[in-house]
This record gives sequence, C-alpha cells and structure tokens, in this order.
Amino acid sequence: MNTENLKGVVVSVARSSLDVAKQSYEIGRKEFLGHWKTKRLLGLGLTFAALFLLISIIASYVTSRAIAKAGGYFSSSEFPNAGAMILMIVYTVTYFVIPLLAITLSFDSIVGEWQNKTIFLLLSKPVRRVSVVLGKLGGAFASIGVIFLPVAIIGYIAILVNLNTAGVDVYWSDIGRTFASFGIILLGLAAFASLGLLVSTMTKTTTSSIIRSAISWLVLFPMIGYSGSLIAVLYEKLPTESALAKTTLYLNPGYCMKAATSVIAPELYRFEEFSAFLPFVGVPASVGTSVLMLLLFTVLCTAGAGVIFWGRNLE
Amino acid sequence: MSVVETVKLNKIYKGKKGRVHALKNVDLEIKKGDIFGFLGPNGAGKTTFTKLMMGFIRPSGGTITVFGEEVCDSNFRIRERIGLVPDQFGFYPNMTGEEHLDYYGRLFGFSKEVRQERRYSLSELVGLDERIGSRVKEYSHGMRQRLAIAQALINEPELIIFDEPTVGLDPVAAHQTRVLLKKLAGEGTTVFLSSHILHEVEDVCKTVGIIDRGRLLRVAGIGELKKEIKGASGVSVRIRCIGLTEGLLEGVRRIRGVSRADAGGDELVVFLNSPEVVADITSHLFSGGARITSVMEETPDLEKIFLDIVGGSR
Repeated sequence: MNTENLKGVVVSVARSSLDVAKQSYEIGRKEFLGHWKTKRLLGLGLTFAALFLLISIIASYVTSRAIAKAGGYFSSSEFPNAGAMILMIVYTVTYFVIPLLAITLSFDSIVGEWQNKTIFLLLSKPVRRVSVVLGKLGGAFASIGVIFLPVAIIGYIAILVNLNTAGVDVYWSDIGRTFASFGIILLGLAAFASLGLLVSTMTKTTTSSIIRSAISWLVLFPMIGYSGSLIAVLYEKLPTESALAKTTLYLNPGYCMKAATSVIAPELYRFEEFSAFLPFVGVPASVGTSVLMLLLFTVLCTAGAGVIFWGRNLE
Repeated sequence: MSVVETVKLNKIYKGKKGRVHALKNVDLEIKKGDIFGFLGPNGAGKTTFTKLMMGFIRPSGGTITVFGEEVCDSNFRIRERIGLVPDQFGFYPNMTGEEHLDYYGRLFGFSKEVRQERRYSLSELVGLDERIGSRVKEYSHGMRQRLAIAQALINEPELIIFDEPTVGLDPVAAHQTRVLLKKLAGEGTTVFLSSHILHEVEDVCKTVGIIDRGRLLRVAGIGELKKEIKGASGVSVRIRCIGLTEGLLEGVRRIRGVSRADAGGDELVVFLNSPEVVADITSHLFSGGARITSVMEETPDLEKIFLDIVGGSR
C-alpha cells in the first residue's frame, strides 16, 4: 500500500468515525430527551433519589450522633472512616436500583423501534446502525447518570455535614475515593444498560425483552457468578477451589459493581480469604478486576448488540 | 440518466413455512425526472422492491443500483439523496411533529438555520403548520401521513419513494396527498409511487410498471398502454340519443365494421373495428328518426389495462 492509499484510508476512517460520533450524539440526545418525557424514568429516578438522600441523611445523622456519644469509637476501630461506612449502607440501595434503572431504560431501545415501526424512518436516513446502538446506549447512560451523580454528591455532602456537625472525624482526603466509587457505579450502569441493549436487539417484543433482561440480571449472571463457589463446594479437594470461586464471581456485573464499596472501604480486604465462600454477605471485590470486567462486559454487550442489529433485515 | 436500475433482481424469503420467491428476475430502469407508478395487487412484491431500493434487505440474486451505485446497507451516500414514505411507519408518540422534523434534519447533519427553515416550509407544504407543535400521539392517521411525507422531504431528495401513501386515508386526505404528490412531481423530483390503487397511479404517474407474484409483467407509459389496449380490443363509442328503438339497434349491429352494440336507456355503446364507421352509425340513427345528443369515444382506463395484463399472466 503506497502513502497516498494509506492517507486515503486514514481520512476515510476518520471521516466515518466522525460521522458515527455525530450521529450517535444526535440519537443519544433524542433518547435522553425522550426518556425525560416518560414517566418511567421520572418515577424510578425520583424514587432512587429519594431513597439515596433519605438513607444518606438519616444514616449519617443517627451514626454520627451515636459515634459522638460513644466518644469517637470509629476513629480508632477497624473502620476508621465513618463517612465510608455510611456510604456502604447507601450503596446497598444503589446496587439494586441502578441496574434496575439501566435495564428499564434500555430494554426497549432497539426492539421498541421495531415494534413501533419507527425503525423504517430512522434507517431511511443516512444513519449507520452502529450509531443507533451507541446512541441508544449513550442516551440511557446519560439519562441515569444525570440523576445518579448529583444525587450521590448531594447525599455525600449531607453525610459529611452531619458528621462534621456531630464532631466526628471527617476524612477529607477520602473525597477522591468517594468519587472513584461513583465512577465504578457509573461503570456498572453502563454494563447493565449495554445488557438491556443487547437483549433488546435479540428479541422481537418489548415484553420478551424486559423479561429476558430481568432474568439475566437477577438470575442468570448471579448464577454464573456463584457457579465457581458451587463447584468449589462440590469438589472440595480441588487445589484451586478458592481461586475458581473468586474468579467466577467477576463474571457477574452486579458483583463487580460492589467494588465501589471496596474503593471507599479498602479495610474490607481483611476478609478476602473467606469472602469467596460467603458471596452473599458484603463480599469485597477487587477494584482493578472489577473495573476491567465491567468495561469488558460493556464492550462485549455493545459489540454483540451492534453485530446482531447490523445483521437484521428490515423485513 | 437512470436513477434506479435493476438487473435480474431476485428476492427469496426463507421462513418457517418455506421459501417465498418475492421477486423474480426483475429488470427495471427508472429515468431521472420520471413519475413511476409501481402497480400490483397486494403481495405482488412492491414493498419488497422498495425495501431493496433502500438497502433495508439484501437481494438474493441480481443487482440493484440507485444513482449508479449498488445499494447496500452501508452505502449512506445513496440515502442522502432519497426520501422514503414507507407503507408501515411509526413516530415517537411523545415527540411533536416539529421535533421529529428537527431530529431527522439533525441526522442529515443540517445546521440549525437549515433545520428551522425546512421545518417551517415543510409543515406548511403538507398542511400541518397549525398542528406541527402538537405531540404525534394526538395526530390523526391523515396527519401522521402528512408528517411522513414532510420527513421524507427534509433532505430535498432527488428520488422520493412512496409506498402505498393513501392506504387508510379518508377520501379528502387521500385527495390532498395526491395533490401534494403531483406538486412534488411537477417540481422535477423523480417519484416512485408503489400502489395498488389504480386511479391514483393513473392520476399521478407518467410511466407504469405492473408487477404480479414477483414478476414484472410490463413497463410502459400510461398513454402507450392505453393505445395498446385500444389496438387490441378496437375502438368503442358511447352515443346518447333520443328515440332509440330495437329496430334501429339491430340496424347498427348490421353495419359493416361494427363488432358489438349494446343499448341501455338512451345510451348506446358500439364497439368498432375501425373509427370511420362512426359516420355510418350516426347517419343510420338520424335517418331512422333518432335525435343524437352526444357521441363520445370510450378510453380504456388503467383498471382495464391492469386486469388485462395481470389476468393474462395468470
């Protein structure tokens, strides 16, 4: 290939990428605005916001007063950071609601276009199918992201204010960790939105899509995650039983999201040895592996959705 | 210059119930500026052809080119120059008509000014200007159809494809759509109109392609087709006269060159082998005491042409 040809290929790829980016943005923008017009997002989003803020405020108020009364117990305990501990409580809601929101907004993203026959007008325009997939994912992600991030920040501020006013030590240096934990939750959001998107391209009705997405989230992936633990229990003499149990846990994006807890409370790693066999009780997840797996999960689901959507005839 | 060209185009659908050969070796050429009517009964293969033109489905054999380029899903340059009003379509119910036009304009990458100008001009063109700000879920079927036409024109297309544009519309809305179609055609856009409504095609199109069970049976100008039918079945005249008797009718039937004569009230329809016989008929009626009020040549309509061609193929 000579230089001219190479240059031509590079220019063509760059132009195509720019087109994809622009169209994805437009489709994502429409999705974002569309989600805000539906009661679905408003209802679930407000419920999430209310729960997050309520738990943040009540938990921090009660905890801070209790700590203050006990003479600053947490400042010298195994969990020195009271703020982190309160966030851990708040995250128990987040780990459930964020995947629920992600799936709720993405399960009909592609199949809905098919069912409502809007796909014919959309694809009669010079739109690449990959742009549709990326736009839909981006739209769902942004819609929930703009609810989660401000709510999480306000909730965290409420926690800090409550601790501070009660005279409990506030670890200002942990703000970075807190934001990192928000980042992991956003990654989890992307992973579940891409799961909903993938299922949405594979199904022919919205009902089938919501059922399959919910089953994948609540049953299939947790089962895959715990399969290693089950094998380890069944074949006790396997030398790698513990490693196997831990490894398969990361195949469940719901588990990987819990790395947000590990980020704000790294002290939990002390329980790592038995954690793999007690996956139901506050298992600490490795941050690096979790982030990697969430990214991988998002990329694979999105790519899968793209390939399936690309291959579908508009019959 | 041809806008659409197909060579031995085939489409086979494979389903649970077996294979359906939707298009069989279709060779067709649509020239620039033509107003082409694609006529066929339901299930003839019209929508399949439309979807192939748009690259929505892939051909099972043969080729289809639009603007000289082979159609495929990834060929976006073609779709930049086409507008489509599909037979089945939907809109986002919570979005207004205006928001739809803006969204589609954005997908073409138009600037804010262009989008604004097109939104205004198109909503006026299709007669939606008063309701363009309402949510689509509040639109009637006719209003949705108008919005579908408006969105198809957002890119000022060189080729506009209408697939059954008046199905389900009330007579007034259907008439308005046809008026709009003619207006567009008059502006020099190449129009492809797929329909099973004969008078619609006759009213709007210059050229007609007749398709049945996946086979393209005939492509010709409407005038040419009418001439052919006339040539095959001869000329017929409709004569209105007062004082027509059974004796006079028998006399007409005996005139050389008359193949058939039917009477109903004051009207007489005479089928002729040659048009020169008309003078003999009128003088016969006149001399027999009948008073002729009008003589009109009967023109075969598209329905007759269509039935002759489709019926002949079965």
